[in-house]
Amino acid sequence: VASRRSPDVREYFLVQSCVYTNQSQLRMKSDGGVTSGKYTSTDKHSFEEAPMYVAVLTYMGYGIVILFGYFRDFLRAVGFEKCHQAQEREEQKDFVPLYQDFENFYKRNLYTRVRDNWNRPICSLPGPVFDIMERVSDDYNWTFRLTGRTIENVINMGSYNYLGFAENNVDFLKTVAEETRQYGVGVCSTRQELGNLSIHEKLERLVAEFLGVESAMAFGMGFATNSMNIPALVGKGCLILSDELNHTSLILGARLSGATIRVFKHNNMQSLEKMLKETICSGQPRTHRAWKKILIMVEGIYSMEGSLVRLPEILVLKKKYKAYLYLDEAHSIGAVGPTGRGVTEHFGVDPNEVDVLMGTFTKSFGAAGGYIAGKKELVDYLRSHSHSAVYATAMSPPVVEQIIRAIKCIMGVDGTTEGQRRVRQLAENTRYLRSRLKEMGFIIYGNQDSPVVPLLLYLPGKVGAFSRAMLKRKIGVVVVGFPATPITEARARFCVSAAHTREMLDKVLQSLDELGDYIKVKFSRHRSSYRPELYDETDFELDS
Amino acid sequence: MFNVSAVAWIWNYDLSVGIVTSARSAAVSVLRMDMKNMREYVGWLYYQYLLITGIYVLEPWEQSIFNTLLFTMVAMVIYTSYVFVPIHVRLALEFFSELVRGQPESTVALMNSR
Repeated sequence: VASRRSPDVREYFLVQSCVYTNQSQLRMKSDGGVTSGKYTSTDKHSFEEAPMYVAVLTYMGYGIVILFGYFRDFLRAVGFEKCHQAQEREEQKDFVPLYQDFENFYKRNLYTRVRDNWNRPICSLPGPVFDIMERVSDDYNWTFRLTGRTIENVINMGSYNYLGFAENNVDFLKTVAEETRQYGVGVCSTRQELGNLSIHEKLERLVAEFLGVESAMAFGMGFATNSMNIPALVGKGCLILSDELNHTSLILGARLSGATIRVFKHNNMQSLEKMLKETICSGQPRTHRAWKKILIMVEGIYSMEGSLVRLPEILVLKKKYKAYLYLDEAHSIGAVGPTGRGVTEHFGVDPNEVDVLMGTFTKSFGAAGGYIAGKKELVDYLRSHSHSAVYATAMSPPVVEQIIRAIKCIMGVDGTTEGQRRVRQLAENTRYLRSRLKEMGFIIYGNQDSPVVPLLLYLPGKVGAFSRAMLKRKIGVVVVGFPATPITEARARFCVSAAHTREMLDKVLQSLDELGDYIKVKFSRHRSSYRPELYDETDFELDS
Repeated sequence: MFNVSAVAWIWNYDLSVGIVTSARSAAVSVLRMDMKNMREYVGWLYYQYLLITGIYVLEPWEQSIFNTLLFTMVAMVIYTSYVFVPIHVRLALEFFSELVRGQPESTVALMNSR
């Protein structure tokens, strides 16, 4: 339980000198399980900054397009041009406005111009290769029409298919078919009423065993797992310390709970500790009483940066300041760790030390839904107090069986080594892709073990050009721009999969190499020239 | 005041270094691409201009407007510099040479006035 008394001053200085600045002292402190032989505080992640002219050109590009946006809005207001957006009827023009025109400025004038790079209709299963339906636009992306052709065998670098469980191999899906025959597809009830099937209980026991904790509960939707369960855990009078780059579901859950929210800088332990000290000293906002609970919310892998959380350091801080830890392993469960158990295994930390382990089945398990795992009292409390548990329809049986068979495969319980092979293949593919991309001179963010690889593009013009050119070369990528990332850091995000073969990765790398030169997105200043014969000129003047 | 000028100097330096490095890497990477003729190379340069200024996302008639405006401004700059820069350079040279020649006389004048 959080501090009821103001903490001892000596404790603060002790923590500040010991915790995260010196790696050897971290080991010496090791009070309760923070031994972590593999973890070093010399980080294996990189966040290289681009040269300054790139930032200047990015702002200039946005400025020019915004000016043209104002010009087009003016034309629409005057009537020279047809307005494609929703508008009120003539009779209602004097009423209170229904549609706020200016707020949609970005969407209308920037996003719509390059909109054909998102929401592409897919007509096969999202495995390592897939088929895309070809669509064209006659009026610059306001409306689309399908031509009827499909683009086949496009390499999929965007799906969260980390272990390749999004497959339609009949042998692997035998148990799923059997369970569908037994239970049907619809459950027609919530877990609390008549929807608690025996297969759900089986899943929860299996998830708890897989993670190495006492108990777990599964929910039908990953987003709803976060947004509906955080209000059940914390409320008014509690404090939430959330990382800068947390996912929308965590932010929504935190806001819905009514607790006080403080944001600390991304993965920055100094910022977190400073914030812990300040908030514990000052107490609740107006009354200055002690906080009822302090909850630190972090993610295992941050999906836009590819960075791993600094778990051992957070655990030390958490114990010192008596806070709880909520770890969202949406992208990292199944994808990191020697046997695929997530960031706790990657850092060599006991999963029972994390108070609330949350994850999703959407990414590595090829199904849908989320789970919350931890102590039995916590999960039993959530079963009756969480909105998602009480009101949401129970998970569909074939989906549950898919998760069960995926977990059994990873654990090796089904008698094959397929799961472990996939985990190792994913690690190998990740290392290969990351090292080759770095060699080529792209700026890549994130930890070197994370299968999420953001490649920075920066300029707004290049974002659209990159995605279209990759599709022309039959590779499907996801590009992300302004609202989801900072305005100067637009990026393309690759998700490596265990189902990608070396040939596919080589084809992707070769296309990236050519495209990187053609579009000029190789901004890294640390590149090691791997074709030395071209660099005949020297950097210095030779005395001749 | 000093800080602002120092920052401006560093910014200009970084910008110029950036342009030089990017020009050099552009030359190297263009060698690696197969640009068969001058026309393809000029086409690639135009494509780079579209991407960097962000014009790539606009519709063709908007691109024409922007190109016209930019071309007009560049033409005006070139015309003005063609007309006025030689005159200014000549006047500046005259001023500085007069200063150098007139230096002994002015120091003598200062000592006499003391």
